[in-house]
Amino acid sequence: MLDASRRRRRWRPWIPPLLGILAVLIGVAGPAGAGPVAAAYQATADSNETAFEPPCIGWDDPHPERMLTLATAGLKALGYDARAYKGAAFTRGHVLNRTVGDWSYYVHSHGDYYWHAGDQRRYTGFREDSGDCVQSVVFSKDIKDRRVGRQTNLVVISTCSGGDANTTMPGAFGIAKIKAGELQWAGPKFYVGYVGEQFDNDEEAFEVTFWDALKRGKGVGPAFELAMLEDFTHQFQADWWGSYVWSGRAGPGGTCPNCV
Amino acid sequence: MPQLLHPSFLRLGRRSAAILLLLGALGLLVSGLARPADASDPYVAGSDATRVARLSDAVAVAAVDRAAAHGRVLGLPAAAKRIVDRVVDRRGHRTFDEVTDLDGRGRPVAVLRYALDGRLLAATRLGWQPGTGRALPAAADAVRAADRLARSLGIVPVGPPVADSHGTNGWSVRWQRMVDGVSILGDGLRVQLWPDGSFHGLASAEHPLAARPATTISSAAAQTAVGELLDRWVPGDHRGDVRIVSSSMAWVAPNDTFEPARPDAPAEIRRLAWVVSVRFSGIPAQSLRALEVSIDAGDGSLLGGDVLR
Repeated sequence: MLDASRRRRRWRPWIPPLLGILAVLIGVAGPAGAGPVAAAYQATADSNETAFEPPCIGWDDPHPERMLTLATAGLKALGYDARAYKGAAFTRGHVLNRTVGDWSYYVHSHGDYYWHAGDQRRYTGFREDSGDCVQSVVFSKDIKDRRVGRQTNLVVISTCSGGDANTTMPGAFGIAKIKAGELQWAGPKFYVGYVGEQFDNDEEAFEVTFWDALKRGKGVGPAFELAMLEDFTHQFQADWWGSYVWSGRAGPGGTCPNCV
Repeated sequence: MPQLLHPSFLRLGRRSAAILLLLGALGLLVSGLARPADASDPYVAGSDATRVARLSDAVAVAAVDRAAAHGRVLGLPAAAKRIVDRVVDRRGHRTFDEVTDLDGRGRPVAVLRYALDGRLLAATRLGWQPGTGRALPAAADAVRAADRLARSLGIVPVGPPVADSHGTNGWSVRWQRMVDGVSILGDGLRVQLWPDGSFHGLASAEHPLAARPATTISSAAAQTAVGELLDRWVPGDHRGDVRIVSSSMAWVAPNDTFEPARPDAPAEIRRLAWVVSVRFSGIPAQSLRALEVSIDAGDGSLLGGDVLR
């Protein structure tokens, strides 16, 4: 009994420093370079996988899954509450349900400037996955109607034609097609899309560096510039709109560090 | 934290020291500091694509001097300070020193990357700087401006240039690296210009090549091999919507496009291949526009390829 009490006393001075070390370790285990955010800022990452694996096609293309992983990890590092969807979970209905709460959005799929029969005009859009080989188009108009001007942070449209001069996708997310440079501020928002038809290897090379640079704290504009320095195997083009100097971090805040 | 200086903390027993050592090792593992600092561990998507370490002023001096000289040549804004990071690009199989030019208020204004032997690999002027000068009217003007910029850096472009207009983003002028008339995909020199011809960015790449096969298969043999793959890959009712449009010889990075069990990163060493281009039409083209299938020019095996959704 006495021994036990003496043993407890001997350990007592150790408790605070050990708790301190534990706290330091927990701190280190947090997201590197990003830091926690107080509120949950929803982000959605979608990738069309089913069209590029059996039975729709005879081999399993690893790009859709890998680029989904990259985007989800990148968004989480920026403080978003990012969720990844593919297969039967990535449907047109899912996109339109989630977009109401999305601060950030990523999609990798087949994209184009699609004809909309109802409106007798074209809109930028992309194909859902839906877990089968017949896939509906999600038009920018559909997203715009659901978001009704809701603020967006970061949008990366990893499809063909998402960055064309006539793209209607930025507007769906409330991002005007203006380039706010180092002395300007268009709010904490940034849109990236590819111009014309782009092959997956080039898109992946771009995205690996883009997300990596954001994780390194470079900010969206420099991350775009660094991604454009990759070793592309085709004539590669991407474009952006929004605030060049924004950090990319989740939430309604953010400032123009150069404007003051 | 003052508790760490408690006198009893300083009188460590063997068991306590062991616990502390264990906790320390755990901390290192968690923070990633115990990871190898080279590119020998394979890159897996979702893990860090780069490992970055800030170089001390003493170590960074050579890179800083080079960046200062190149910055003057390229007309980059004067840097009040430069920071240098050693970057291990795990996916790209390369290590380089990255110099970031900062202005008087600590804002990054340019990035220059150097191989460890001092070669300039890439440079970019940060910011949206479309320029105020007269826009270059034609591709030939862009080529001349890009060629002049490259030569001013001591880089002599080789081969036929290709200039693409990127609208308000300016021009991209590219010289594809070739060996004995065969392109090395992804290698060469690319210069980005603002519309008025001022410097925006530059990137050069030169990957190692595998030995050239002693004998090579014919283009027809490569197309036959791809035709057989398409017979397996494309459902029968759509096989007629998929056709081979061309094939050309090139040095390519083997990859996992058609075999996902291969490494996530494309291989560092380029291999000689027939790149067979395939175009989709009809219903299949609603999700897949085209393929490039790389067939080893020596043994006819599948090296990888690319997908256009």
